[in-house]
Amino acid sequence: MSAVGPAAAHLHRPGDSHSDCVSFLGAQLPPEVAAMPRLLGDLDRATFRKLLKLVVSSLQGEDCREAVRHLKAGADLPEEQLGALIAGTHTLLQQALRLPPASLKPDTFKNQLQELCIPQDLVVDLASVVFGSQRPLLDSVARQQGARLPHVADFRWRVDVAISTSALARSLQPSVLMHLKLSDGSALHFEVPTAKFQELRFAVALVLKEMTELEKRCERKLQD
Amino acid sequence: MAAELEGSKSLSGLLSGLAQDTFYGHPGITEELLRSQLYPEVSPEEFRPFLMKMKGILKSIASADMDFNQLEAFLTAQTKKQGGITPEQAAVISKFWKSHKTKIRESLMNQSRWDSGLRGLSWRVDGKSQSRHSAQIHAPVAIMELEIGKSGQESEFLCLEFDELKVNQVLKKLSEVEESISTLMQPA
Repeated sequence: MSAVGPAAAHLHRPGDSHSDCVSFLGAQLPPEVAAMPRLLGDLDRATFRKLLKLVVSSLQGEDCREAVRHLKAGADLPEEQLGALIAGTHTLLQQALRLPPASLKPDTFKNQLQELCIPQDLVVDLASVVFGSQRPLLDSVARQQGARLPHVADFRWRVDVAISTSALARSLQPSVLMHLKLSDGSALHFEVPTAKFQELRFAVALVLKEMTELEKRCERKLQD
Repeated sequence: MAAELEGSKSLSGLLSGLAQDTFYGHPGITEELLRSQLYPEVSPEEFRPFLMKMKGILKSIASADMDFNQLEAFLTAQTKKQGGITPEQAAVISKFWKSHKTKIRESLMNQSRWDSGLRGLSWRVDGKSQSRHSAQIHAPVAIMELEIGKSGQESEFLCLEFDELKVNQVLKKLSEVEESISTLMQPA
């Protein structure tokens, strides 16, 4: 979300949270969220619920262009205001969903929204998205959307034994052929000679051991 | 056979030179180079048949990937042949094959590998902590870099990411491969 308005205004903006802890929205309120209360006042609730549903779909990774067009057609709101509301709601939810439920509790969330002058009934709707039954799905989508290297989507193998070749009358050497399909759509195939195969197998087993140990250590240290 | 051709040190050198040219594909090892370096006293006309004979013997041994019993039998037969080799030469060839067998075999196998092969593998395990979408992840992630290349070409490096589940799945498949190889290679 790009910053709107002159930078100076942001530097001198007074703290938005009256409590001691920093709002889940950060020390500086994102401008699209700051604009929300003003726009939400007169918005009819049915339209807001449609908008909320649209934003949640987008957070789940769906293509929402059609839904936005639909919403624009049905609502009696100027396009700019609608755009601003979508942006604000998206940022608000995304920031809340970033934090685990142990860090951001429902009451804190609701209080902070109330401090922003967001109408109470809408606060309830927003809270039900962040803390309701859809949360696990939103979390799993977020995990997949992170910055990632390609991963292996499919892995097939074949063991071949070269009986005889133009260079060796009697070869009888097994070789593993691997075919990997990656998450970015590309395919990879290569041969793994026996010695390299043992090296690969050992490395993968060691990696798994390291990962298991790391997970145990993380669980102990990073509890909130 | 000229006395000069019987020298074992020169023969050892000759076999090395032949291996470089025939098996490892190193360029520039010409007949003239070998003669002038190892058998300067011998004329080119006399040297050529000698070279061809040694080359033929070495190629036969390598192509059949002879074990030591087969090697002894083969070399003994060569010593008994008309125009064959001397026992001293047989000893040099035997010694040479015993020390270079593995390397030559590997090189010959590579000559019949035309697909990309796995040349190397590096890995590390990271603990993912935060992302734009999530403030606390706590998930270990493995990053593996595969070095893949075709014979005679430069390697390509590929980085892949694996979560714990994926590593487990891959390990399971590799175990299946291992079992398949073991079953295959069991003596009948």
